[in-house]
Amino acid sequence: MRITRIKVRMQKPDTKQRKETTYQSPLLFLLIVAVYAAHQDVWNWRKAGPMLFGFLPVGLAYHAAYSMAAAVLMAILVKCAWPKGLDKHETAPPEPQRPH
Amino acid sequence: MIPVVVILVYLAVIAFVGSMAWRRAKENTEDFFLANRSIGPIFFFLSLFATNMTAFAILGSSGQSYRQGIGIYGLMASSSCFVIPLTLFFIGTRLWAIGKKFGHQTQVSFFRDRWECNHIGTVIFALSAAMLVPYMIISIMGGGTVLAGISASPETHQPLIPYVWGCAIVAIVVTLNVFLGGMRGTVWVNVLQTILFLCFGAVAVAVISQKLPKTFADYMSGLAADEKTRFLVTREKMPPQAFWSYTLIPLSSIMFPHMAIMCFSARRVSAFKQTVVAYPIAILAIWLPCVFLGVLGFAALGRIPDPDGVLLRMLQTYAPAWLAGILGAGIISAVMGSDAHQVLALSTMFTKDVFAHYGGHEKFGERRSVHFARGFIVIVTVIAYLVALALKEKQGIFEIAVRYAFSGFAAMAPVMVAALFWRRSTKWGALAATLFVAAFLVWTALMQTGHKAGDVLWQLGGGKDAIKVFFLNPRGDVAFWNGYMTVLPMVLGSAFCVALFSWLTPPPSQPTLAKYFDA
Repeated sequence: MRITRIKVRMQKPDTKQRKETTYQSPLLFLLIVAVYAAHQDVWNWRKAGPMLFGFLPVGLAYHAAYSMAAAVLMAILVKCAWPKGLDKHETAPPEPQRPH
Repeated sequence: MIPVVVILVYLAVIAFVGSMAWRRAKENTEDFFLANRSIGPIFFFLSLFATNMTAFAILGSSGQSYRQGIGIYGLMASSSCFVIPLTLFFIGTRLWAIGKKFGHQTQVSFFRDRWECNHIGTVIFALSAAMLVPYMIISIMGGGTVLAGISASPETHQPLIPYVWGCAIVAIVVTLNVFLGGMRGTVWVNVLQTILFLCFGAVAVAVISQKLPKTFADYMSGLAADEKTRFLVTREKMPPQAFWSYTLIPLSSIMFPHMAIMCFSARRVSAFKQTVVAYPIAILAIWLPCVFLGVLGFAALGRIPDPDGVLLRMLQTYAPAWLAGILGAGIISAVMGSDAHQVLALSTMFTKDVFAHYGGHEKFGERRSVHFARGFIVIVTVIAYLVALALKEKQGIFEIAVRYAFSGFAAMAPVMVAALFWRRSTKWGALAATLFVAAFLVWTALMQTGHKAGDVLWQLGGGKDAIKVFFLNPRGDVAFWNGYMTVLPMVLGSAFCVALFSWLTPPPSQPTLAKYFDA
């Protein structure tokens, strides 16, 4: 009985974590696809204006903003989808290689 | 004369900073090639960025936008803003961890261990080296051209530093940095270089705006109002198919040996966090002003004989001499930052993947391996310098080779993805993809030299309904169905080869799979 209680207690955070990952992964994937799709701004193809600050053509201004959006996307990925377990190698000495 | 003095002083400082790393150097390959995997986050970002930015980012971008307009930014820069940080995030971090855990210093070393192969690794090495060498040669050619351009007299257009001396200066400074300091010296110098060329664009725009006879708005609205020049402020002459397929080209970044080797050199994986976020902003800081100035150059200067020199002409015309010198140093920084990493990467690959792998390390030891690497650096730079002199008139061939090398490295990305993420991938899949990429590149080069623009190379069916699968576009480049760049069939074909031949052949042994996937 006691053992069962401990098991349940240990499972709780795991399940929560799994749920978060389950919801986050498709959302982040969709976000990446959306940012990629936004690169193809066909609606700006033949337009020169309106010019941002009076001199920056709309096609150039859009892609400058796109570059900043790419940085925001990366910040979100770093925050929410940073590969787990890689930092454990920071202090470990390298394992010897086998010759082939 | 003033710009030349400023640049020479700058080059002397660069050589000095690089050689300072000599004092901290230890005589082992881990230290020489990777600075003992000790690069901190800020130095890592600045150096990684310098590794990937060539003179093209400044001179080529403005030259191309002078010819084709603002679309160049979306085509080349913003696609890189999206793809390169993603590849660093998903691939670079894993490469770092594998390098740290198993001591790999090159991509080929990882492939050999991951797929239990020997000579197949050598084939991948050969293709990577063959694609990297033209890039290195063109960097030296670019250095010579830039120094000649900056030092040219505004009246006579005669350079104070001729091309021959310009190439020699760049080659000597790069060799000094890499020979003496290895990765540490290269990274230290990169910090200075990257800060300089990151500031270049904004300063150039600010200075030029002060001296122009009209406002930016006047020039841009003038271009938009004229039907003949309107394409420069829109993308109406840029094929959407080429624009889309170009987004595959930045996949090449992580496959360039010098970029992958940089990933191994970080002290902590957290260095990638700042890097992937700052990378798009840094691209924006360099490319946006350069593309804008290229288009502005068309409006302000009219037609000029050498569009790639438009930025230099703008500086000579609209910037004070001393500032033109500092800005010129910014351009030279971009040339040398990537060139030093290319030389070091070639040396690392030859030393680790060929010399050490085939018994050199066991026979001569660590210390002598570093000597071999240093000797190789001198030899390869001298050869590159001589080729840059001998084939100066054929620079276009190297430019084409570099263009195709980008497609080639991009097409090798599926091999890396398979190695990192697909347990079932095999060495035969990797070999098939490598041979496919090599064969495609050779075929493309042959087709491009033997045909003229508009020729159909391969079509399905006949008459009006014929589908042109491969043809030469108006620029004379081989294009894929409907105008897509050849990088599209190359990446798809390479991925198909990895998948098919991996499924047909037995996977690596269980201990190797456990080593890379179960730990």
